[in-house]
Formats: sequence, C-alpha cells, structure tokens
Amino acid sequence: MRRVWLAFTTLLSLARARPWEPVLIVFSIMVACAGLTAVSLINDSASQSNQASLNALSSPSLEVTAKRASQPLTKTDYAQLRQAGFDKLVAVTRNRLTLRCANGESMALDSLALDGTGAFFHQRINGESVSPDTLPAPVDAVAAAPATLSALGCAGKPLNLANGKKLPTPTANAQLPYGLIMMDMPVYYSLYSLDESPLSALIATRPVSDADITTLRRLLPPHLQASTAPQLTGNAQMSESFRLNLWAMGALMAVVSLFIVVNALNLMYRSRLATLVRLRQAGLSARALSAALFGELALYTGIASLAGVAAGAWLTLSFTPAIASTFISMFSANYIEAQPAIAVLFLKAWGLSMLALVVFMLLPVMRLSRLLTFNQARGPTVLPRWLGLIALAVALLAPALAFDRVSALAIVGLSLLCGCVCILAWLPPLLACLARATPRRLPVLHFSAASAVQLSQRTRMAVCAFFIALTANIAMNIMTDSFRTATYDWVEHRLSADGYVYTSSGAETLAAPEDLQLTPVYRADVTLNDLPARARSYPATLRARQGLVTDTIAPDAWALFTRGEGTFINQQLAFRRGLSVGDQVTITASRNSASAYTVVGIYPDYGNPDSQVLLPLDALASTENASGVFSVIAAPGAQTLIDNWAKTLDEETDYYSASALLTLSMQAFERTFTITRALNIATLSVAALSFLLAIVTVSLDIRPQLALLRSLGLGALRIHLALFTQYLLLCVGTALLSVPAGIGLAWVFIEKVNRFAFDWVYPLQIDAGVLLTSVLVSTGAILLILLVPLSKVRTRIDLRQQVAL
Amino acid sequence: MLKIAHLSKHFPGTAAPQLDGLSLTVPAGQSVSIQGASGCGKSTLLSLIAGFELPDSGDITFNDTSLIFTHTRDADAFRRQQLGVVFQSFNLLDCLSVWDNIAFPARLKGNPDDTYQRDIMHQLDIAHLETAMIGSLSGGEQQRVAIARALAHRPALLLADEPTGNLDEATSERVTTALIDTCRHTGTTLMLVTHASEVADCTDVSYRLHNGQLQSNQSAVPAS
Repeated sequence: MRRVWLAFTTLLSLARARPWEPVLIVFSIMVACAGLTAVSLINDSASQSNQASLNALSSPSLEVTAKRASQPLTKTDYAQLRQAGFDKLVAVTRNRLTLRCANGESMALDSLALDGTGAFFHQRINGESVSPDTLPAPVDAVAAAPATLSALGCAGKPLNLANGKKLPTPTANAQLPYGLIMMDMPVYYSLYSLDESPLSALIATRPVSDADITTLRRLLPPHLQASTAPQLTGNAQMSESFRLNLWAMGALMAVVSLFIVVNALNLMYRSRLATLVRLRQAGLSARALSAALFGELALYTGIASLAGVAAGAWLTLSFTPAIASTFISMFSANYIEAQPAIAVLFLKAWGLSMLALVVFMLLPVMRLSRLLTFNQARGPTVLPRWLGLIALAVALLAPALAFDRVSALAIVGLSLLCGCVCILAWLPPLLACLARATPRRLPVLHFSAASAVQLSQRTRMAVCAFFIALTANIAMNIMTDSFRTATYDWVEHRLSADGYVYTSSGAETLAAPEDLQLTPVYRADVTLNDLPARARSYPATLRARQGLVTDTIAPDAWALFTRGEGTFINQQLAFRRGLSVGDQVTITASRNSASAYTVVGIYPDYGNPDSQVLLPLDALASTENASGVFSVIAAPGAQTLIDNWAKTLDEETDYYSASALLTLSMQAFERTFTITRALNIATLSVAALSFLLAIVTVSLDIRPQLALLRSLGLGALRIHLALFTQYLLLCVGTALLSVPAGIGLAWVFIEKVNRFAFDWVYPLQIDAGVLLTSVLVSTGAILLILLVPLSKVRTRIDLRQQVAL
Repeated sequence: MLKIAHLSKHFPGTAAPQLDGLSLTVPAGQSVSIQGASGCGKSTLLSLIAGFELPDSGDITFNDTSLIFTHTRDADAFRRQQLGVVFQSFNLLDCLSVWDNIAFPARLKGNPDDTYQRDIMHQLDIAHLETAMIGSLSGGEQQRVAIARALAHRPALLLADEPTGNLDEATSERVTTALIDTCRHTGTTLMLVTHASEVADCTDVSYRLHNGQLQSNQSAVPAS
C-alpha cells in the first residue's frame, strides 16, 4: 500500500509539473460525460414524448372519429358504443385555445378535454338533465406542464379565454407535454357548446384486441370510422424513426466518448513513458504501478464526470426550447421535458466511463506497468493483412444473419468494427506502396509519404475514428440520396393526375366542368387473411397504370385487376405476411363478404406504416368509403380550366396540383433527415477531435526529426507543408478504403436496418457526385482542424536533440 | 576558410556569457576539435556557425560569405548547399531506409550521386546496409549513417557535435577515424566538438573552450 501511494503521489507530482496532461484528460472525459448526459436527457424526453404520443391522450391505440365534418361524432354515438360493451372508449375534444393570464401575453395552446371521470358520459346515460355549468369542477380540472405555465406567466392564477370566459386555475403536471392544456370535459363544455365544438374522437384507454377492433368496425354507424395505431397520422412511424435515430445518437455518443477518452489517455501515458520506465527500473512492482495508474484514472474520471454531467444537464436545459420546437416541427408531436436526476446521471456517466476505460485501457496499462526499458515500449506493429481479409469476409457475410431490427443494428456495428480492422491491416501497406511510387527526386514528398506510413500506425485510434466517421457519412449520404431519388421518382409517378382535390365535406362526387375528369379515391379498413390492412381504390386507366411503380408484377396483372380478381399489395404487407406475386389472399371489407384475390404486383409505398392493398374502384365504391380525395385530369388543352375551377371551390375543399404535392412531399422528406445530418456532424467532430489529440501526441515525438530537417536546409514553410502532406496522405488513404465500406454500409442500412425497422426498402443508387462531396467535405474538415496543431509546430533547431523518451 | 571574429553570445539567466569575443580561423580542409567542460559553450559555437542561433556580436564568414543571415531562407540555402551536421543523437529519419537517409540532403541540394554515395558508404563500412531500416541498426552503424548523410551532398563545412558521445570506445575510434579520413578525402572542413581527448588528438588542430575563449591544446597560444 505504501508503494502504491508512493507511485500515486509521483504521478500526481508529474501532473502538477505538466498540468496540461490532466487538464486534457479531465476535459476529454468531461466532454464525453456532457455529451452522454445531454443525449440521455434528450432520449428520455423524446421517449416520454413518444410514449405520450402513443398513449390515450394524443395518439391512442384505437380512435373512433367522424368521416366527415358534416356528420360529427355525437354523445349518442358515445353512449351507444359504451353500452355495447366498449367501456374502454373515452370521449375527447381537441381544440386550439388562445389563453391569457391576468395581465400577461396571449398564447395559443392545444387543448384536450377528456371525459376521464366519466361524468360527461353519465350525464346522458342516467337521463340526468344536469347542465354542465352545475357540475362541480373536480380537483385538477385543468392542468398543464410547468414549462407551459411558466411561458404563460400564470402560476397560481386563473386563465382567460379569448371569449372572455375564465378557466379554473391550472395545476402543474410534469407528465404533460409542453404546449398542451388538459381539462375535464364538463369544464370544457362549460365554456363551449357541443354545436360550437363537437366531440373530436373516442379513444381507447386500454389496449384493444384485434377481435374487438373487428367487432367494433362492424358495429360502427356509417358516418364513423375506427383507426388503429400505427395507422393514425404517421406520428408513431415518425416517432419510431426518431427513436431509431436517437438510439443511434446515444450509441454514437458512447463511441465518441470512448474515442475521446482513450485518445487522451494514450497521449498522457505516452508522454509519461520515461517516468514509468524509471519507476519500474527503481524497483516498483508492475502491480503497484497499475494500481497507481488506475487510481489516478479514477480520480480524473470522478472529477470530470461530475463536471460533465452538470455541464450536460445545464446545456440540455438551456436548449430545451430549441429542441422542443425541432421535435414539434418535425413530428407534429409534443415534447415532454425530462427532469434530470443528477445523482443518477453522475453514476451512469462515471460508471460508464470507468467501465469503458477499464476495458480498453486494461491491457495498455498492464503493458506499461511491465516496461523495464525504452525498447520494450516500441510502437505498435502492423496488423497482418490476412486479419484484414478475415474481417472483410465477416463484414460481407454477417448481413445475411440479420433477422430483426436489433440484429440489423448489431451488424452495422460489427461491419464498422471489421472495417477498422481492415483499415489497420491495409492502410500501412497502401501508404507504403504510395511511398515506393513517389519519385526520389522529390525528397520532401518522398519523406512525407514514408512518414505517413509511420503516422498511420501511431494514430490508430484517430484513423479508426476518421474511418468510422467517413464511412458513416458516405453511407448516410448515399442512403439519403437513394431514398430521395426513389421517393421523388415514386411520388412523381404516383401523382399521375394533373392535380388532386381534398374535401372534408365527405362528398362522393364534386361538380366540375365537362373537360375535367374527377375520379374519387375510396379507402376502407379491411382484413387480409383475417389480419387488418388498409384498402385503397386505384383506377385502371392507362395513365394510372403507368403511374403505379412496382417492384414485381405479374404478366397479366392489369387484366386480373380490372376483372376484380387481382390486387396490388405494398412492400410492407408483402414483408410482414411473407406474400409474393401469385399468392392467393382473402380480403374482407367491413360490410362485404370475403373475396378471393390473386396478388398481381408488389409496389413500393415509402413511409407508409400500414399494410395496404389496391383494389378496383368497383370493389370499394360506396359513400362510407369516400375519402374526400379526387384525382383531377384535364382534357388535352384544358389545363387552364383547372386553375379557374379551383378558384370556385368552397372552404372545405382544396386543390393541389401534382407539382405542388410533389414539392410538399419532398419538403417533408428533407425535414426527416435533419437528425441524420446532425449525426454526420457529430461523427465528423469526434474524428476531428481524435485526430487533433493524436497529432498533438505525435508532434512531441517528431521534434528531433523536424529540427534535423531544418538543419538540412529545409525552410519552416516546407516543413509545415511536408507535415500537412503526411496528414493529407493519411486522410486520402483512409478515404480510399472508406468509399467501398460506405457503399456496403449504405446497402446494410437500406436492405437490413430499414427493411426490419419499417418493412420497406428502396433501390441503392450510387451517385459519384454524392460520393465525391462526402469525401471532400469530410476530408477537408479534418484537414482544416489539423491546421491547428500544425501551426503550433516549432522547428527550432537544437544540436543536443534528446529523444522525447 | 572559416573565420570567426570577436564572437559573443550570452543567454539570459546565465551569469557569464557563453562566448566572449571568441575568434578563430580554420583553413579549408582542416579538421578542428573543440573540447571543454560541460556547458562551456561548445554546442553554442557550432549552433552559431550553422546559423541555428544569432550571436550578440561578432562575425562569422565562410569563404568570404557572412554566416550571420538576415533572412532565414538564406540560412536554409547555406545549410542545403554547403553545410553538413552530425548530431550526437544521430537524428536519422526512421521512416526511410539507410540509402534514402544518406541521399536525402543530396537530393535536396539537387546533386545526388549514387557512385559518390556508395564510395562514402564503403569508406564508412556501411555499404552492406543499403536497404536496411534505421530501427534495425546499432548505435555505431547509425552514427556512421549520420556521417555519410552529412557528407553525401559534398558540403564544404561539416559540424559534428559529440559524434561519438553515445558510442563505446572501440566503435568511437572507428567512427572518428572514418569521419576524419573521409573529410580529408573530400576536402571538407571539419569542426568537431568532443569530450574525449583521444578523439581530439585525431584532428589537425585541437582547442579548448574556457571562459568564452578558445585556447589551443597544442600550446597556450589563443586560436586566432
């Protein structure tokens, strides 16, 4: 113990003498912990928001709504369904209220009135003619999130509505999302009448079985429809993709943290090598030295974790409004602010840091503490090339083993790891070939190329970080570009009409000039082989046929479809049920008898969470199935007629040209990849930081060489250029290996991750411009960062050069 | 010819100047050794001659060209064209082979001569190490490679700071002999700093640096 303490105090003395070393370690761990904390808090918030979006308040598992505004949901409907045994259904009314505290600013909030106590329901059933005004307001009649109340400036005071009426004093409820005010239904209907604000929906407060859903659909009156999650609005799908992205961010931040910390530790231990060797030579045992090194590690980790957690929590809370608005604008879902528990976060951050450090530093520290001479501390050897071949084989074969989302994501990680092994095994030989090919008559360039080989071995962590960042960057850009191209192509084809009309009036027909052909779109909830699906009508005109992009199609598809014997199914349905062209299926519409169909084609349906079938118009044509959507095709030469006709449409009806819809679709597309772009920046940042730390380390070692070059008559500028050339060659070499890895990873993202996460895929498209841009931007960013340590390199000549060891 | 006139250099924080009006004349092709106690200013003198440092006062000329350069590019050009330096710690480029290390200054100068280089390597008994990497060489071999590198571009002046400081006695003798003989063979002016008397005895002239001044070891007569 005495010897361990002696070693520990010696290491602390070293830290005092060279304070930048522990400062760098503490700073690195602090950044890592701050990042982990921020991502944990955002993840918690998003998960809670996601959960809230999936719970009964916002996006329930089952929702009964009116098909048309002209025939709203009534209290009678509510009573009848509950009396039929669906007591899980609860009435809700959604509105947008402008509220103001006593002398405060007005603020528009989403409101949700909920018949949680059943008082509203019981008013009708028990035949009481009790007016809502006479009902006592229950405790917590009105509630909102603390952040909402704070924004209103309304703690402990009643709220005023725009119509002059007052709401009871709201209570704070941290479970509610920001921007929402919730109240008991009798309270709401003391402010508005049913005519002014009809019921919005009946939602299920508990899970509903498929059998119950089928029964409910049979019992529903014609003017109502039942929707099940994830069929509702697509929020759940978005939340799913958001959760996937957040999981990826969390995993990425963990890897980032590891890279940053291990890199910083390598830096510190490398610069202390001489002292460690001398301690061993003086008789200190390897065990005592290991214990002292880990003790020092624990001290720095403890200090840095606490500071990092505090910094991360503060940053997250400071940026909550921006994060919330991003979440809300992207997914039209509410954002619940997570409450940080500092002790838990600290334990998590410190525990994770220590665990990672123990795992990844155990061997290097043990090796360091066994050194007795400087020769034993020689740099790392190159990985054998055959190891790279094995890693490549594993990376190529592993995707075949993916069977669900988790395994697909694990394979992404495995692929990146195998890529790192390949890089470490093949980059030095690749650079050595480059060095051999460099003409000797250019001695400085030849020196740079030869040095780059050594540099690649000394900066392994940084090279791996850059490889991962660039590969992920390339993969995500290819994936996004492929998806963009596929989506554009698919939407452009599907919008085969000149335009589309959307009406909430529920009409099955619309008046239009003779030269305009309006075709209604019918939708229905059906069962396919006794499992729920959505049916959509599709015309069999030549134009429509050309508009339906398919992955596979039977030779006589349209003939069967037109005869009512064939159906097209989307990819989602095909993957989920294992269906393919030629299979026989039984489709039962809500009131029709079961009909047999042959699957005649499978079509892509990007972003749709539902299983969907296309049926001829005749199969679905009925008033109750009218969706309020019409395709509009103008006769040749009558295009201007559409614009004139669109101006005559009423308030409930909107017309969108095909090009306008295409633009809107692509705008929505771009928004969903905001997080992907953030991931790109995050991975590049860690690569840059790793490289920065590695180059700072290497700079210490190469000072004798730089002095030598100066003594040989090489100017300072040429030396800096030579160093920059080394970094450039390292980055270019890594980029050359990252390009095929990135393409492979993009394929894994599309064919495995996307396939198992969302049940649809799209074609991989490799655009040379996208590849080149990814490589140039990433490499350029890294090289810019590396100018910082480069500018600090001093080429002062000292005849008595001592090796840094 | 190397001429040093009234050279002075004082480092801040030290009590006395390292060099105090030192003067020296070295004819072309002569080998000169400088001895002295540790910290007396021997390496400082070499640094000033090589242009690595600037003197406080005085002048240094080589073949009538002043070595006190106002522009670093002129100093760099002098080092490329006319100067060779042998360091105590060898300072070889470990990413290059022995052949490439030796050829590096000549390639920089633009006058690589494979035949001449091989000749020097033969003289220094390292011809068999042409393709070897630096990390595989012993101390003596590395120092001989460093000497070969310093001579391969045919410099007019060679400065060697403790070239045998890290070598054993037998190797030290071999290296010293090889260095001095090669310089004589090529007509290179050699200035060598050493602690070892036996090394100093091999040069044409030997001086001792004391209190910032040079004194000839052969007699009590000052250097200039």
